[in-house]
Amino acid sequence: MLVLGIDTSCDDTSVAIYDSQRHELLSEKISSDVELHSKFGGVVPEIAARQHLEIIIPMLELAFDEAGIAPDPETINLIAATRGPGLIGGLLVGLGCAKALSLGWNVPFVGVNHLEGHLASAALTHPEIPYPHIALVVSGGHSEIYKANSVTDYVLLGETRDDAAGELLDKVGRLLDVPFPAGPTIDKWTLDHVKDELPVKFPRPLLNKKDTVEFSYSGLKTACLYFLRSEKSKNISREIIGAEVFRAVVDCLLGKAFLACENENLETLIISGGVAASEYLRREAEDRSMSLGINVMFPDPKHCTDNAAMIALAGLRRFENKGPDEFDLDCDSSIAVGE
Amino acid sequence: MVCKNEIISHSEDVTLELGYAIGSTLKGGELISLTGPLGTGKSVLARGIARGLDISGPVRSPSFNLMREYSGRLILRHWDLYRLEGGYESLGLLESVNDNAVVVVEWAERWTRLDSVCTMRLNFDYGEKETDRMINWDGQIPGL
Repeated sequence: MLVLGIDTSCDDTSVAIYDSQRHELLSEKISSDVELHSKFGGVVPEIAARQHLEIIIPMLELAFDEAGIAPDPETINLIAATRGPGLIGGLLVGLGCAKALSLGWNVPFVGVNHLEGHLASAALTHPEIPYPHIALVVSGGHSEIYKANSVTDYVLLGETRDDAAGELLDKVGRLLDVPFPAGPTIDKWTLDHVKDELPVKFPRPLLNKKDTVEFSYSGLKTACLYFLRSEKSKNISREIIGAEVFRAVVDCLLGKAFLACENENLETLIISGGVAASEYLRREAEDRSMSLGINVMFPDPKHCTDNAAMIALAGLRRFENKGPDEFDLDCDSSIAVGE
Repeated sequence: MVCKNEIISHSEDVTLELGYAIGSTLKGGELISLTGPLGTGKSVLARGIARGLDISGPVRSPSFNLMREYSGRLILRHWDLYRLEGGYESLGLLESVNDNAVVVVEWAERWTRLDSVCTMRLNFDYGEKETDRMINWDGQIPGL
């Protein structure tokens, strides 16, 4: 079965074609308007939505070219597009395009939850993921821990009470004059100082509360902010400050994810989402998991950030379990997993 | 009558209670702007407003998704313009105000036009001590 996946939930327009029999991606295309956002330091929703609209068809053509197949109903068996969560303008373009192709080609379509895409993303690289397992999804908009009972059954165990981890990094990045997105730069700083004793220490909110697997990052943001306003910060480089913030973020992420494994008596932990592309997070997860007897798995880094390959796979799972969606399916910018 | 009020909040709980007091009196159709720098308590106040509208459960930052919606005594639409650099008119923010909904906007200073259509404005700033926040607002909050 060939699945066409489309993701337009945030800043990038992504298209992928997935062959489920051979478990192989025939093509993956991601437009990156990161340059545009770096210039502004933020997003202009109208421009982002218009850009999705302008490039979705050329992106589809590129994807079919790369796969070496014709864009027609003889080749594609299922169309999967993100319906939420995300920015509504972009979602409308992707889901609308999927519906139009579905109608024109008479091929079934499904609307996919973007988070279920992230939850599926590791299986693109590791087809034999054991169930049940603990799944940590950590990105600009999400910091959540699930118990994954099956490919379509996820139970939310804990999430952030306020800011998501990636959002915190971007906000701290602004305080430290790091260009958007701040994650890769802060990751590099943290790796550069990985063995050093740092002259500053920020709180690890909720880390020692063993009765919860939630996160809370807004206090960490405030602690960093007040440190920067204090005299003490004058002799400390922003690299060191950024590194300590990221250490605190990762301590909380891993502490709570491992606690969830312990609580649920599960030995497999899957970490996905944009922050999971971090080399520091990967190293720490692998180092710390060994003594705990936990097997940590990650998606390929290119499938951590938003992509359409994971949407194709999650869409296939949804189709196999629940069948196709109707044309009256709407976008939902704040949909939860399982809805 | 518009009056200028100010408190120094010494803790997150005080900010939360101020939000609760505001939320309890809302009738629907209000547009409330929250302005001021990072980490001064805008999100905490928004959470307090949610509690005052009988919305339980987590109220998370809408920075990434731009808007989160909650149902309680009234609908709360919690916006955040932090990530944006323009295109405000096309957000549908003003259209999201109606008789059954309260709209709260963080980083409202990004969109200057918003100021003239707000029913209440709260501004946040740092205080002398690390836990202090200066919060001032226009309009009256019963009980304060």
